[in-house]
Amino acid sequence: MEATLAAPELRLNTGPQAFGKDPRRFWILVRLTAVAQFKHMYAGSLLGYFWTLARPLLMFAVIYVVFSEVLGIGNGVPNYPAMLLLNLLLFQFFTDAANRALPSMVQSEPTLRKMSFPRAVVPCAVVLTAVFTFVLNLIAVMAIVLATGLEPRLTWLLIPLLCAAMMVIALAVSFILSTLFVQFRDVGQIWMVLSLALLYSSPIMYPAELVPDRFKWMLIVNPLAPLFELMRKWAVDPEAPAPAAAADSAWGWAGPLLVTLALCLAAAYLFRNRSRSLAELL
Amino acid sequence: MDEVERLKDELSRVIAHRFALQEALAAAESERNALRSAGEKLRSEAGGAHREVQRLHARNADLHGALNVANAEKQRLEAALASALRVRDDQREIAKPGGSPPAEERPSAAAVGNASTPAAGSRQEKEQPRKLRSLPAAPVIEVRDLCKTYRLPTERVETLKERILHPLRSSRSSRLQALEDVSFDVRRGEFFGIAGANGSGKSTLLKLLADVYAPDAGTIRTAGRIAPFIELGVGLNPEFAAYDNVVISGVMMGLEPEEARSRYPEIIEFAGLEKFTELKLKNYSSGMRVRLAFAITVQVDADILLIDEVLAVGDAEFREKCLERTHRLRSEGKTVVLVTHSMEALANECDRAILLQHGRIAAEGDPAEVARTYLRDLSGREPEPGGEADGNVVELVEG
Repeated sequence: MEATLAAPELRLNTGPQAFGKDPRRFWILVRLTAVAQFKHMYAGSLLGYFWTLARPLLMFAVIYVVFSEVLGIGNGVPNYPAMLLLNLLLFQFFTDAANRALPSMVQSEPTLRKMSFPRAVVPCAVVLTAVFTFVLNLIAVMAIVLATGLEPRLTWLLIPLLCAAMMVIALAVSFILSTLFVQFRDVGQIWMVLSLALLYSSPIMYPAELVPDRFKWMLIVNPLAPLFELMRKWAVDPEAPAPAAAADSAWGWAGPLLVTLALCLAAAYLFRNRSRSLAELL
Repeated sequence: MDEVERLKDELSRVIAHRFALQEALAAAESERNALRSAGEKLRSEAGGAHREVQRLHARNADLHGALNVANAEKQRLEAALASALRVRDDQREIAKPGGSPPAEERPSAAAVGNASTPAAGSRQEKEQPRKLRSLPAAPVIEVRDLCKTYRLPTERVETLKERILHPLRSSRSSRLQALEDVSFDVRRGEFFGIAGANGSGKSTLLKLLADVYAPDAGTIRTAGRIAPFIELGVGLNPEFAAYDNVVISGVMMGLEPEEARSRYPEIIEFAGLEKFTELKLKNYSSGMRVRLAFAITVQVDADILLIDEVLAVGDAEFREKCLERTHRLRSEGKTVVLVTHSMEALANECDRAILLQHGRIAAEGDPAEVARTYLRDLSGREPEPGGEADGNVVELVEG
């Protein structure tokens, strides 16, 4: 009886936190939510996973025909199909995460308004779900690429590094988009245009060396650019230029890194500021 | 001569036959006697057994009597304990200024609710020994000078474009003071009621207690884990099936994933959803969703339960189940905060209550008093004394 009467200490209500005080519980919540989302995506349709893989493959087919056969851009590039396919896959991971993170806070409204849990669980779970899909797709695409005759290289082992870097950027963008969308509903339209611009300004469908000098700065301000350059170099063609060479300056590395850092800081600042009041703004 | 010989032979044969018959008769007689005595013996034994049976019957009846006595004693002790707990609370009430003496309190509590309800009746019976007195329980919720203001949604800048074109617009927006200088304590093990008209700030208060909203001014301190049941839900995801929702909500309310998984069958059973576990929640009826949410809330071992109007929904059976469960949680030392429009529930269930009006505390203390204040303010007059009339008023209010 005495033991049960020993009261837990009074603790100040602070309002909902961004990450909470217990990283372990935070991770458990993210994992549980992501697994449930992943199940939900593929449950009830046998072809669910097929469509997820079919999307980058179909996109690949269209772009390959246009860029290689019509415009002739891919002709001088060694293993252009493999490069295009892997880059598209990496980019799709990014857009998959960001596009679904954008409305995620608004869609979680009932939970946000009734429960006090670390708010970052919502965008983190969306990104983790995208990671699941990406890893499955990457395995399938690697098999396809091998079947088309690309030789395995030791540098393939570095590809997870690219995925990790892409995940960090996707997380930062997801935090920003999901939080802003709660308050400003036109963020959706802005993001649609922005993601299209990212698709065409990144060296995804064309090799970085084809970018004219007066547009090299695009490779410096785009945090995604070095990821595609390195994907090509490590996975497909060791002769391809590294980010510094591609952008023709040392800023080829530093620029994207700084932009990534700025994105992360902005995400953390915005999220820390808003997570207390998210439930009221919904 | 031959004839004589023949007759002699005949005679001797007859005589021999007679002897034989006599012997047989004697044997039969002795056998009869033996049987008779055996029968006698058996009969006496049977009599003994019969007496034994009767004795056991009597003993059985004795034991039954003793059991009944023991049961009665147990009930009496339980009632005494409940009453003692009540008295302890009442004593605390008296210790505070404005608390009315318990002698008046109880009957009035029953009078405001329908006097014929069993809960109200039994309340009056549990009124005998008042010996037990223990230390006041520690507060588990402590609210001080709490203020909460909303910016009205119509005044809000909705797009980035507007924000950029009219950077000053938000500063002109009007504000709604949802809560103003609210202070109160809830002690461990209390059944605490919050009453008030629509828009009086009840739900805001509950969300602040649940740490879903952050206070603008003042402090809230809480002890232990809180299970919120706000606006008839715990924030279940309509796209997920019951299982995923139970596990995720359970973890959000502080369970480990394994604990949440192991409680899933009980939760489904309490909610009565055994046949619908395959469905996604969006295919549930609203009643099914409420039942699932409530079942999760009561199964997560929280120290404090925040319950918003569950008594107003669901059929009578589920309502009964909810009440029974909240009583059980209370007897386990949990604290329950109940937001309700039902003055009957307030008066019958709660130990203490507050009444919110326009974000301020308009009455505090004895739930019956709070209920009367609420009804008086609602109808603009003091309700008629007497159970019948009050019962009608309550009906009107609830309808």
